[in-house]
Amino acid sequence: MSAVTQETTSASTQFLSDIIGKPVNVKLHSGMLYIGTLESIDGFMNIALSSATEHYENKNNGLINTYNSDVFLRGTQVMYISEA
Amino acid sequence: MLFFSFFKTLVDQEVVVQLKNDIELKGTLQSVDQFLNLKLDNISCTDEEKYPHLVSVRNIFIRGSTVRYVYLNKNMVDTNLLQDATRREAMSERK
Amino acid sequence: MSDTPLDLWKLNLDESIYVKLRGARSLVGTLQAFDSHCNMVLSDCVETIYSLNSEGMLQNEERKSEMLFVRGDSVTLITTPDEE
Repeated sequence: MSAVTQETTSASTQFLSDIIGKPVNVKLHSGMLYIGTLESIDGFMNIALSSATEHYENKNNGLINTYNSDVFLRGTQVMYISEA
Repeated sequence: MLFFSFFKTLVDQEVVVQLKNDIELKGTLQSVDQFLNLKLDNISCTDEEKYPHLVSVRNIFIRGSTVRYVYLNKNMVDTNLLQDATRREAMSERK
Repeated sequence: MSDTPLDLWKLNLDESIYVKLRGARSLVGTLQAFDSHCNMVLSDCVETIYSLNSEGMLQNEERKSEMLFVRGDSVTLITTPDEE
């Protein structure tokens, strides 16, 4: 059991450290979608993005906002993060 | 612990608490705990027409998790002290 | 170990920040204190509440406060206010 936990932990840690500096999609529980370059991420899924754009649900639904400075997203609000 | 200490410095001051269901209560902060649960005394509801069921409430215990905002006055807060405390807390939280 | 998302905004103490909250609300104010839950104190703060009126048109209501404590669980996003 503990070996499995260990393995999943390292797999997700591996994924998270692999995608640092890459363009990512972050979806929040509210349905807001943020696309930007992943600056950093921590164990609570707190996320910092640079040159982020804001969309609702889907990139094709149009651009809501562009953020010129770094954006912090609160981990508890994050539904998923994926490589864009 | 930063905001627990912060709220302890506000005891006996008059504050306005806005809850997540939009109810707003003005009262004297009586006590606070580590969950930021608040006890208010001498309650007055800032919008009695909207929330008439609270008119007769004089004393209330508010579960911290239901709070959205606490409105304060500038003179209640030493901002330099608060910023220093924040920096210290940020340092100590790093594992 | 200085590059977690939370480290990002201790640089913003005593500076103006933009905070997006749950329930179509946003705040702009000067950051005086914060912790890892995103609890914070903002001074000279303007809250904007977005809503739809009876005709379905977007409207916003502003409210100013000189000192405001915000409970972190309402927070979804933090950045610096360069837009508008």
